Amino acid sequence: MVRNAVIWILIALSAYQYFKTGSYLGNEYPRKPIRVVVPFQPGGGSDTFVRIVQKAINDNELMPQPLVIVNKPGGGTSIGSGFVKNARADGYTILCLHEALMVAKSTGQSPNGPDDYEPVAATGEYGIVVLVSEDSPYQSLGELMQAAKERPGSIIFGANLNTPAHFAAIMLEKTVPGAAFRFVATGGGAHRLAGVMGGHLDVIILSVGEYLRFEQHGLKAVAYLGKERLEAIPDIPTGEELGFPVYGGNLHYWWFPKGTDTAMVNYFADILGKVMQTDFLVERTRELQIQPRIIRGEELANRIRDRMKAYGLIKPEYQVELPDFEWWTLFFVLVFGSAILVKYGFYRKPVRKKFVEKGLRHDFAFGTMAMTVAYVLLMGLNLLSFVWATIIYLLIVGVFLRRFKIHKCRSVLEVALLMSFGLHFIFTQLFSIDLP
Amino acid sequence: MEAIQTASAYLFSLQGLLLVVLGTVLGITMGAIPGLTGAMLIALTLPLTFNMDPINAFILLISMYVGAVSGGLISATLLRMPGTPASIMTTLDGYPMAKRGRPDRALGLGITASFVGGCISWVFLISLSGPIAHYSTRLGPFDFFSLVLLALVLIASIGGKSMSRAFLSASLGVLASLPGIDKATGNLRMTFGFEELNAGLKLLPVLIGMFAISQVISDLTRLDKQIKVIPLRRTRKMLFSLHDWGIQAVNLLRSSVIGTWVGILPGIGANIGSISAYSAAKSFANPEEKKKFGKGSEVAIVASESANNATIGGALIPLISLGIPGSVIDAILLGGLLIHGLQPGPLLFEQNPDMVYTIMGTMLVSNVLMFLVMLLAVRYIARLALLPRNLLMPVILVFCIIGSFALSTRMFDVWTMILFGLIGFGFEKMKIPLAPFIIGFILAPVAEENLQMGLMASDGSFLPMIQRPVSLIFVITSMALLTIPLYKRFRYGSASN
Repeated sequence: MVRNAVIWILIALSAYQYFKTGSYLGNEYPRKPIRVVVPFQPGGGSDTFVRIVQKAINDNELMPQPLVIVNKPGGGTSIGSGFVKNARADGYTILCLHEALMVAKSTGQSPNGPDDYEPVAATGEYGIVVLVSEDSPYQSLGELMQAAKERPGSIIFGANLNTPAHFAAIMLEKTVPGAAFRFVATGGGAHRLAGVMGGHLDVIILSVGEYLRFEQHGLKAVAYLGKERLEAIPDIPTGEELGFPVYGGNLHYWWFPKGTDTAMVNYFADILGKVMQTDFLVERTRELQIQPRIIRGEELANRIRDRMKAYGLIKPEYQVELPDFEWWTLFFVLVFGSAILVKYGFYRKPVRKKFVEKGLRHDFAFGTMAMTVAYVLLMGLNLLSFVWATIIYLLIVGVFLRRFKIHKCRSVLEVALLMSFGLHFIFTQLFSIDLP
Repeated sequence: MEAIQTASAYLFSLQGLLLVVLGTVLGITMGAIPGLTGAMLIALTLPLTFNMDPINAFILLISMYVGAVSGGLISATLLRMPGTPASIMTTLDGYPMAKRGRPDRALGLGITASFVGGCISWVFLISLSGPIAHYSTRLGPFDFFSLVLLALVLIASIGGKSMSRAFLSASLGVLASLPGIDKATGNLRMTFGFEELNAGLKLLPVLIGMFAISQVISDLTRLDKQIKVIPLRRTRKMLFSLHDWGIQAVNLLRSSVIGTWVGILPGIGANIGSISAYSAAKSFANPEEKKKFGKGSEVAIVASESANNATIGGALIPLISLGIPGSVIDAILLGGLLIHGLQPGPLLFEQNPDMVYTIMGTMLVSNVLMFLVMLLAVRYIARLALLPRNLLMPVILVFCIIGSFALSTRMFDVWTMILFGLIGFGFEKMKIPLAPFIIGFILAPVAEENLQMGLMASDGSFLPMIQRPVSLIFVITSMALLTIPLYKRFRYGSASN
């Protein structure tokens, strides 16, 4: 009795929650949460920044609706940027992505460029520094560039190819005619750091925030690639002072899908402007060495045009022929596959009857899987929402697996209702995870 | 020191302790239910932790790991079904002993052995991982590449019966890791025009498919099978007596060290550790005891259970010091670290020492808790093994779907998961082992990245692979592992057939 009562109370509560949140609609923009798509995994620099903005907005109640973060990593940011490009231009989906969008467009890695979006604003500038190991033979940028000129290709530069850091390094190369680095793709910032510490890389580029975090591991900054010296690292000269006028550095740009209403663009830019002044954001960005500034309107359009032009001028070259991994893997698959086939054909041992399992219900297994496919299709094509699709799916599969004995299916009904409403509540409210 | 304080502040807060309890109990339960494994539980829990603090997330995941490896012992003893692959050897002796009316004794031996195994390997974990991590910053790209080669060879040559099947599985895993963006050049490859493949096949959907969906399919085919349980009436006197300690001390130590060592070896996990310790215990046993093996030997239960729990600490060593997973569950944890924005590898100690100490601390706390929960609640957990599976399976499918979807809120990952579920079931039917596939899938990008990095630095020359001493050792070991079994087969193969 108690068990039944508890189950039904839970069902009633979560169903109530579902209908309550599902039916709320207002009139003025924004009348529902705005999704920010971050094309990186949770935890990275961009994600951290957007989460600070989110907290600042939600805590200071700058908007009547919350900001919801959706991480869509992969494809060198093209998955996330593609998602927003194709999203409805209704002002409820926005992309936050730094200059990787422009780099990816100009190198042809991604079909999506600035022209596919309505730029809203660029916020939070962060600078980059050129680093060597403390015991490196090159203790200044000048010595480093001199060596790159005298012995082209002998200085190993750790930078992921076709990233803003790589481009900054190429611009550095161009300041001294004849200088050439050897670029090595390195993975994340931590890999780069390990490479320098282990002596596998001669020079790397990190963001100022990263540099300050890793400083005590025996790194030496030889130049800050910005217009003026930075307050946090007053002793580090800029590239320009040393005679290598290269400016790297990056901002987090916000992009609505093309065709979003100008009023919405302005509304959101205003909100971002207010966010940059909140105490919380100012304090957190100081810790991360990000300038809480905002660029919008005409200035933003100019900056985007300038950067696209700069990136368009550079064509990276590949220096080393790398092995063809696809070919080798397919080769091994074929070798081992045919080895098994040959063994099977020539040395097959008769299977003893004792070892053949009897009474397997393949109908159960594949029937259920077919229904699962139908269930996913229903949700994938947006024909039914998660709650209703799940109720129907669990009822049908439950009855099927109980061999259509309807009178035994009370628990199936309970499970179906509990899982659909209950999980909807748990995931959307407690874990804030989007459901289909 | 500061990091240890942060870690213990998290771990010993109310929330932290609740997470340890939740994780350990869920782990034991999932481990005890045949057909549900720890890998499945952890893969399904991972998406739920996205919005949690990374440290809390790992408190939960590590406790689940400890619980899941331990819980398998209950169903191995009472149902003659290993609840997780780690307890296969326990079925051989635990069940016969239970059948002869001593289920409480069999469980008691297993529980204490699990606890001791966990503690011994924990000592290795805290004393070895720091020095290894410190040393490994000196390892270059070629060293890592050779290490991954060694891992693949290890799992293929030690893991299963058929080396060619294991290698096929591993190379298919590598193949599945290729679509997407080539990290070195940034170009797309093997996407066949599907824009959604640009990001490649994601770890989580592939894992959930391979381990959860394929397991559900194969459980569904066995829905008609009746499960018989040996009733557990008494649960007193489950602790070791002084006499027991005297008899088992050497066995416990030996099995735990074997378990830890097997755990450290990249790629192979708890089941192999348990098998190795079992055979070692058998060869060290006196003739009288040897006869009892397979018929309810106490020594055998203790060996198997202490070794499988010892692999946990062992397998965490390469995970936190090198970023190379020591077992399949560690591979999921590796994915978890990445998802939470932490870079596993030599620098984890430097950058996120609080995470390292959290993992270490949680393992110990959860191990103690596992011991208490198993002693006090084993009767109730045993009953859970009888949950109606026709109700359970559809629910698990729904969880799998949400889990894959939540990763990046797109249906493509759900389809990936279903596809790999069917592939996994096909693997099982063709007796192709799953573990090499997963290890290949996870380690291939590591190998590729390091090789590319090495080649770019060496101007395309492969020579450093045998010029660098560490790399040379790995290469020679891999060669030996490959050739010795083949040599033996040609030498003695014709005679034995």
